[in-house]
Amino acid sequence: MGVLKNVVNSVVGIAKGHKVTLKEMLRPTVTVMYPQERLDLPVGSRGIPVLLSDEQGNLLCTSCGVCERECPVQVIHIVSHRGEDKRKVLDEFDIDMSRCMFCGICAEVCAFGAIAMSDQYELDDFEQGDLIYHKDQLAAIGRTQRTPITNYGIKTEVGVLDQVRAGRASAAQTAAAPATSTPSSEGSRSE
Amino acid sequence: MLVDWVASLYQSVQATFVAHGWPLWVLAVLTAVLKVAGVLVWILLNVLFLIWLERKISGHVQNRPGPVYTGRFGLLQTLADALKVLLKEDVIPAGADRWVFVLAPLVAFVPSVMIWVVIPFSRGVQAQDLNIGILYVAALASFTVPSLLMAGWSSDNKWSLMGALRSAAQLISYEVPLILAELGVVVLAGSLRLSDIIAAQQRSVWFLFLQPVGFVVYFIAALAESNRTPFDLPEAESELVAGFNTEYSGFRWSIFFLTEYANLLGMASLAATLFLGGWSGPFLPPFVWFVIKTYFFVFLAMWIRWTLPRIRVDQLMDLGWKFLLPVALVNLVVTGVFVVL
Amino acid sequence: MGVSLQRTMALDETPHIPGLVTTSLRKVINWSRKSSLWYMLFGIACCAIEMMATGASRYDFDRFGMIFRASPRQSDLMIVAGTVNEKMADVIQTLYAQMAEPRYVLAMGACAVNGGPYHDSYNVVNGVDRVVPTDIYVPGCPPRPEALLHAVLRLQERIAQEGIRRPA
Repeated sequence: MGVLKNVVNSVVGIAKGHKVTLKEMLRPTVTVMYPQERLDLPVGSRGIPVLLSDEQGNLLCTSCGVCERECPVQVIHIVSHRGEDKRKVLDEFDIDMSRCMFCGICAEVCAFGAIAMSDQYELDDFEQGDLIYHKDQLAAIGRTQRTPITNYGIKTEVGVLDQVRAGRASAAQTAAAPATSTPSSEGSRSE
Repeated sequence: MLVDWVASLYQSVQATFVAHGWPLWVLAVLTAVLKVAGVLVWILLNVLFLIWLERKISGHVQNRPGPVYTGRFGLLQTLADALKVLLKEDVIPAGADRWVFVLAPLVAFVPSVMIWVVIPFSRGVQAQDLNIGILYVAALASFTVPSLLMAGWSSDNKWSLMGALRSAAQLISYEVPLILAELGVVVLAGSLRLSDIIAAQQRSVWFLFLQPVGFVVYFIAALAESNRTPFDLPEAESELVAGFNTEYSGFRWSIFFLTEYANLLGMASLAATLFLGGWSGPFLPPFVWFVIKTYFFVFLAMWIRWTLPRIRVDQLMDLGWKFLLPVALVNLVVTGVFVVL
Repeated sequence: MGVSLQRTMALDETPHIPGLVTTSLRKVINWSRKSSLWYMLFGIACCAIEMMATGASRYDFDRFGMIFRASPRQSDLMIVAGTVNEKMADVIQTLYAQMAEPRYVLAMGACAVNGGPYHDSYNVVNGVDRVVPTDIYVPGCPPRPEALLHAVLRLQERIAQEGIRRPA
């Protein structure tokens, strides 16, 4: 009788499994249709760190360099000089996003609240060099701030990263335009 | 309707041949070619649909939509896959046994087409009504073993070879219960001819009700024969990369893929013919009934695939030899005793 | 001496004549390539978990026609998800060589892009592009599934603009 019991048990088990899958088949899907819709991330979730500005549009950064020192992967690069009134003027502020690990320490250590983690995460690019974000780009993302700083993070406008990327592409085109005026270099790609 | 029209067309063409004194074998060759073309078109169209269906069902079982962006409901997804696969590089590994490697997909695909010779689509729509129909199908089904062994051996790859050996062991051990389960139907119908089996079911009831045990054995064994989960050990990706077709790329691999789904379709339509009365049914045209019944079994097979996990090799052998074979034998004996009484 | 020619194009370059057949053939082929990017069942480190999440129900790679294939021979896209150490670099090279053309490589996560937190470590390759040609980089530690999907969509856009034969 042990065999029969075994058979009955396994048939019941298999039938139960099929009931579950049939039920799930008829349920609506849980998928986020990404390009059309996206999850609303909580404030303070960590995307690219951005530079914040005051109402006049001036950067809050005082070029003290504490973020550069504290960054565990050393991806922040700051260049500054003394201005006429002996205050430091920020010349360059680069973050190499290809190595950034989104720990948020730069935003935590900043005494002036000049860096915050934004909610922009679609950072993919075709060239590694394009992954280095400069002062103007970081500030441009920061200016679309929608919420006050919470947990060292802010919310920004959806799609601002694509605008920044498009701006960089057009800037590269205008810079490269006089160099490649011959039509042959363009035609060879699109056969 | 359409069948009558085709028959009358055939007769008028035959009359023309006779009137002009043209050799009749030309007509025979012509009709054979047309039949093969029809079967191929049927298989290809269905496989295109089946792969889409499989991906949709797998998606919805897991609460996700499956392909959506290629055409309406992603219906063109398989077309994109097929086109891409055909245009991919054709790799033949350096250590491969070239001829065997090239031949293996063809040896796998041809029998899966040949099965359709005897499948009755509708009343009188059958490429050839062989009087040994079931024997013919059983003989063709075992052709899969040499093709998989050829693929596994010629690839010069340990995963391919292991997958091929596993599939050989699996197919041989599941062929026996499969044929015994079919024999139960044959004993009831008193004929190996598939049209006779359908006629016998029209006289009494569907053999599903007379042969429930035989049906279960047939279905399990047929799943194992067509290498589908829970019996897809020959291509278990978690242990054997992709099994016997690890080294195949491009269109050679696509033929293997095509064969898998053609076998599934053949298995389902044979099940519909043997156990659900084939094309016979009320109200709707016979061909529609045939498609409905076939797709019922296809859906059943897909539902099982996306529910059950893969079983172990020893469990597979145990199930085949220690459970299905005795059950099928007892079923056959009981059926025989009932028929004689 | 003779007539003077104004050269508008290099001589070794074929002039672009818009033809219905070739352009639409190119479009159809590129459509098929971009809408069935089968990725290889291959993950190296923690980013692979996020790759699996992208393949699972919440984000669903299959919407874009992407399913995984276990064999490199049948896959089109290698998602390098994780730290590439010196030992793994050889394996990645072999797998890349085994893939059939056309093939694409996506570097997922900081480690695959250029070493990430392990940059300049004694056994870590500083980016998978030192080993195999890489088409697109997705920074993040790990990137969100949406970031990976965004990268895949941009790769699809680029595939749609390719010639029938990939520029070598």
